[in-house]
Amino acid sequence: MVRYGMAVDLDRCTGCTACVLACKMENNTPEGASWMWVFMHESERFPDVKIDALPRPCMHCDEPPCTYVCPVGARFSHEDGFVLTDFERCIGCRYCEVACPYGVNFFNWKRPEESAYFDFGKEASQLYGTGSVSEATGTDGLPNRNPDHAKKYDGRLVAGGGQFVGVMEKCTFCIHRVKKGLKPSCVQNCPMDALIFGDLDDPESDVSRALSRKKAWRLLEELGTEPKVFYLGGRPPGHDVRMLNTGKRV
Amino acid sequence: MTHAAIGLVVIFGIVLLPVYLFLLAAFFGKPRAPGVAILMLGLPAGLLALSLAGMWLLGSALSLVVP
Amino acid sequence: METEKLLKPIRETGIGFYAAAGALSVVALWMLAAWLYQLRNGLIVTGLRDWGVGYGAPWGVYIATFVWYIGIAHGGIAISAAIRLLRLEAYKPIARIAEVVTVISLMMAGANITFDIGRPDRIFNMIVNYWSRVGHSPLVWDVTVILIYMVLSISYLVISMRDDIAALRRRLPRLFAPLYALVLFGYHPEEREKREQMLWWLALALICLMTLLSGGVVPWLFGLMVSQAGWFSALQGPYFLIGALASAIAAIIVVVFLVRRVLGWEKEISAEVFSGLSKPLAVLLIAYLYLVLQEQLTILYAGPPAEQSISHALLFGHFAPLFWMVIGVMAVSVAYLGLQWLGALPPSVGRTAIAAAGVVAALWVKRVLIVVPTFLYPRLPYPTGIYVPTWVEWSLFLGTVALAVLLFMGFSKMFPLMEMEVRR
Repeated sequence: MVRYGMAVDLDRCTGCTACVLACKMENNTPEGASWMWVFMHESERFPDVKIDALPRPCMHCDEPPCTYVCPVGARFSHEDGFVLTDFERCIGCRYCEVACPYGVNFFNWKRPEESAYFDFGKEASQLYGTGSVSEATGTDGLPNRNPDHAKKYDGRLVAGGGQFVGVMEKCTFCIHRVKKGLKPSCVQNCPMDALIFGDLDDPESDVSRALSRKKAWRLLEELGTEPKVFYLGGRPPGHDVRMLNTGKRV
Repeated sequence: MTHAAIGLVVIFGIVLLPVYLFLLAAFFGKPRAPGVAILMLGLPAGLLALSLAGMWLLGSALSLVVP
Repeated sequence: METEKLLKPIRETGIGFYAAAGALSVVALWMLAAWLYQLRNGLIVTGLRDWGVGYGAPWGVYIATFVWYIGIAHGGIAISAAIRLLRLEAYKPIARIAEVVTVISLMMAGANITFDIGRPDRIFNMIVNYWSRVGHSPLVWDVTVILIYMVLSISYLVISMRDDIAALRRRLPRLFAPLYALVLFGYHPEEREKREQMLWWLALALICLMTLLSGGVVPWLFGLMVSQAGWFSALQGPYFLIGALASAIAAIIVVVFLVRRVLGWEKEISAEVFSGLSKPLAVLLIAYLYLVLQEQLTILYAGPPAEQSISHALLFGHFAPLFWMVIGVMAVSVAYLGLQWLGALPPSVGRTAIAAAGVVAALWVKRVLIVVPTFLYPRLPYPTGIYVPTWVEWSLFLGTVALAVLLFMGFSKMFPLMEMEVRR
């Protein structure tokens, strides 16, 4: 039995947001959605002004309030430590988004064809003629551009974003990659190796060894959610920090 | 650590107690008239079944509309 | 009252009724069109958005309206229970009106929840997965208790009408004969003793259930959430309960006032009913203001930063105009009703109804102020959020109000709005 978690080395993170873009490309998330997010915070007064970058994936909590409140069991804990959303069961009540203190949830407010960047089925064939992505992947284009997103895990459709209007989604720790022995896309693409992923219960894993080297803290620990994303270095953000970036208003 | 199914106690052990009390009074309270009791209780039972059927029907109808 | 007068609304329908029903039907149809638009395009057509990165509020008008309707729904049973359990015969004339308001409000509460969910086509999933989720999800507790409360309230209304329908059957419109047959299913006059015994216990059950719904299951949706600053509080149960009872009694005052005026039932529904109801309303409003004081002082004194941001926004910032308007309306209503009670002001049915209407509206705004601000001022330092409801949300919310009135008017055409026995 594994228990996946992540360590974020804030002494290495430069705030480049490669992880944010990698996640978006890997998971085909809708316009305006950022499953992986990087806070850019400015704090204190001159001459002590600081700018801190804080990457924030889903915490994949061990005591996830989002799973407790889901009325249909669409939001659930996977035995390997993932907290996932069953896109076929979700009724879109948004209670998981309400129950999560971290703000990692993204709702599909628009129909997929209105919120996707690219219609792989139609536009690809127009742009590239034959051999469009849909032909290459053997899918019908939207929504399963990445064929891994059509795969079910324990009979549940949990990977990839923007597949149905009116359902919730969030970071999946790239379960579709991890199950193939790959790292989550954000981890894989970080140019500073600031993101470390692995089995928290395996003392030899990358993440366990990283956690043994430096003291770690977690976001909103006092709420009892037992998040599995650990921060090394840096410091928890204060309430009076100044935002240097915001999301896109959908 | 798994999260306890606290709702079972709260709903079926506390919140619905007044309903159990009503049911007990219906069958065991004076005057004893189980026939009338069953007749009267047929209404909420029927309405509950109707509500659930209605939910199913509404969902089915809406699946033709929701993309 | 004389049977003729009681049956008049059923047997005679004037131009005023058709005009009103027509106008309300247009509003209700507009609501359906707007809902269809929302179903086809997704909830993007509302002002709701993801909190945090999306700096919006994922819950807004629909959820606030849901809580508002649940609150109003308690008026019916509060009055019926008071009559049956406490033998407050003075309110018998308005019992059935109040019970109808309860039933319709519960249905409208359900409608607003249905409007809010992203995939209403999958609503039955809540039933399919019921037993695995009822132990954990406050939403499922909600569905459970509201469904049970609704079927029991409808049953209470219908069963208590049996004697009247049996006596009036031949004078009621033939068109609705199957309906009356249903109401009278298995009827025989000997059932009365057992039936009344059951209705007594049902009234008791409903008043307890109501307390655990409005002061329990509904506030728990919010109060159990550590995630949202300002929500996580043991105060939510009592807070919501007092608010619900206040809006319930106020709503009953308004509806009874309108029915009395429209049907000319001034003799049958005395002014004492209004002055009688205005007293518990005044007490409840004072209790509500007391709870607002508790809530806000607790946060403002030295509360955690996120909670402080929300309270500042409510009292001094973005939401201050709405917040103080709510407090102002409640305070003025308390003052007016209190002075009336003390005899310093002459009793006035009309002005009591106006005060009550103000309270009902203020408590709708207050529910929005409970639901929305916390999302706009999250615990983690995201940007301050924005929430502006769109025409779709207004159409759906106001559409349910129009539909509620329509349903009430429909009921008045089928069943007498007052118990026959009252006249004795």
